[in-house]
Amino acid sequence: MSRLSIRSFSSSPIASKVGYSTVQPVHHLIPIKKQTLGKRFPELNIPKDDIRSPQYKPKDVYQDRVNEYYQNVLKSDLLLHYYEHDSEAVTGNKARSWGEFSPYAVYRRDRKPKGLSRATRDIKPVTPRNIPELTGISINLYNKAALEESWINISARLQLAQITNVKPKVVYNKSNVLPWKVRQGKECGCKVELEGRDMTRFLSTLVELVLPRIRTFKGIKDSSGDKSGNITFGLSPEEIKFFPEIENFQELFPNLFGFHLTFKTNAGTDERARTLLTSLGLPFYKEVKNVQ
Amino acid sequence: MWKSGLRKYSAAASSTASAGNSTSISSTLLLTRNPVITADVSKFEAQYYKYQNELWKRLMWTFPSWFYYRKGTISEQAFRELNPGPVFNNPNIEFPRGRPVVVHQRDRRFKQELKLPKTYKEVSQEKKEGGETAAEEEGAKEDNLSRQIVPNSRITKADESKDLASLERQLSRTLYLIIQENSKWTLPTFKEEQVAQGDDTKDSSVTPLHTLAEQGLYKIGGNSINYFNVSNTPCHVHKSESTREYFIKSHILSGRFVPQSESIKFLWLTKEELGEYLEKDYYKEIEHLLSDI
Repeated sequence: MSRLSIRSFSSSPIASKVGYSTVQPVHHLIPIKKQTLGKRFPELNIPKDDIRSPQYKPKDVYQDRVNEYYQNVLKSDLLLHYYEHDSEAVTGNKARSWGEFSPYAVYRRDRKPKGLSRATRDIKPVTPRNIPELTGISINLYNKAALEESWINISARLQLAQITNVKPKVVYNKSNVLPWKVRQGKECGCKVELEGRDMTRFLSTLVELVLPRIRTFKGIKDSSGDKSGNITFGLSPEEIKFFPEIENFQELFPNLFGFHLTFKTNAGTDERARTLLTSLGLPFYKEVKNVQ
Repeated sequence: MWKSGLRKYSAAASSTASAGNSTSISSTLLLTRNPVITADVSKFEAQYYKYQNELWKRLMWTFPSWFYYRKGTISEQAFRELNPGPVFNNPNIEFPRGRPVVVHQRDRRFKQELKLPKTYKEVSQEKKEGGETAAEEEGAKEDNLSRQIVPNSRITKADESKDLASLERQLSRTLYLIIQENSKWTLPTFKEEQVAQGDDTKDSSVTPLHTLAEQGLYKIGGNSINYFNVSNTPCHVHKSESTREYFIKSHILSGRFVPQSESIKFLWLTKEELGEYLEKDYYKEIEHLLSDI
């Protein structure tokens, strides 16, 4: 039997090279012959979150302080804060019909909503079922330098993996834009989706250790958001230096890269998402425009 | 747009609703102190976390010491001295517990255990064994910038002395303020001062419930309380024949409750303790408002 598929816990060659392993981790200890995988071996098709599965990865590895605070304190407060007597859902601006009787409208797409190019969502009242919650943080790192030298992307991925404890996925260019040296299929950065304990640990590091040390940081712009409760802001390479994983090993990270953070919530509106994030410790500021 | 018309929950407005009869409206303050530290976990939970954590460590990748400690550096030498490699798979030796599978200085049959710089526990134990006095330790604390970080105890002085009026007791639990004015322990309740009939329709005479609660709190507890009012909407109403008590939820952020007259006694209690001090029916009614943690 081939012994190659036994889990090795590392993927760099035996002659230990200095470097960063870019191979995706494999979480199985049992040698599997992929050819034999089929209906005959149902035990190999156990879902990943089952402890019998060879791909099982433990999740509840320590007490989650941030989630505890959300569950015990914030949830009931947010419910009371958003309680409105006799409230009903406010219907969004929807696509309109062309009228029932026109034969030309039978297979035609609906008319655009009034005054907008896109339909908007309904705004539902907050009930115990849909209390605003932080569902995930996605981090997007666009690496311009990698367009010319693709090896630079390795250090970007290492940086993100160090900060978040999650293996980043590589992002590739989708189109050709020659003046920007953008080539289709070329590496141009990486991204990470954080959930659960990885998310809360990242959030507490950001709120307690990184943001307070950025001198110029005023907060997140009040206008940030995609209108359905997902709020984005960016950090520059100078600001990323304050992450303790980077700060203590600065000589190992000669190139640092800024990234965009998106806080994904199920709040439905930006205003509610802002309330949630404020209560989790992220400040917001109002942008002053057209000052003369 | 979202209906954001402010709804006024005011004492006078509701008393007009129950027109004519002498129903008195009052505002009850549910003033809480949120948990300061993480919740206490049960034995089972602790065991579960430990089990998961060990499993996690078992499945972790090998620590890339070649990245953090470059070959030939002094730090690498120090690391190697702290973490000698495992016994290699010597073909001439019999291993009764199975042959080691060593890759990158790690036996991959087991979790990787790294020796890191000493923890504060080890250091303090060593100091005790060495017979260092407490005064010397304190002196070292003051001038040494890189001193060990020692977490505070989860049990405070107030817990030890069973001081129920202290805000620093039961750090892992939510505490609620109750007061005693006439031999009966209650949540602080404030009645609106009587308004002459006919004045009710005027806006000037209307006191919103949360303002009423605030005024009352400052009156009995002094101005040194910094609090956060969760919502102007009451979270509960306690009804009796002649009274309507609306519950306003707030958190104390800083400062403390200083009784303004000698007749007022106060306590900061957890949910279970409230059951001992409040009337049984009353406690049963408001039990669902209180946090278990």
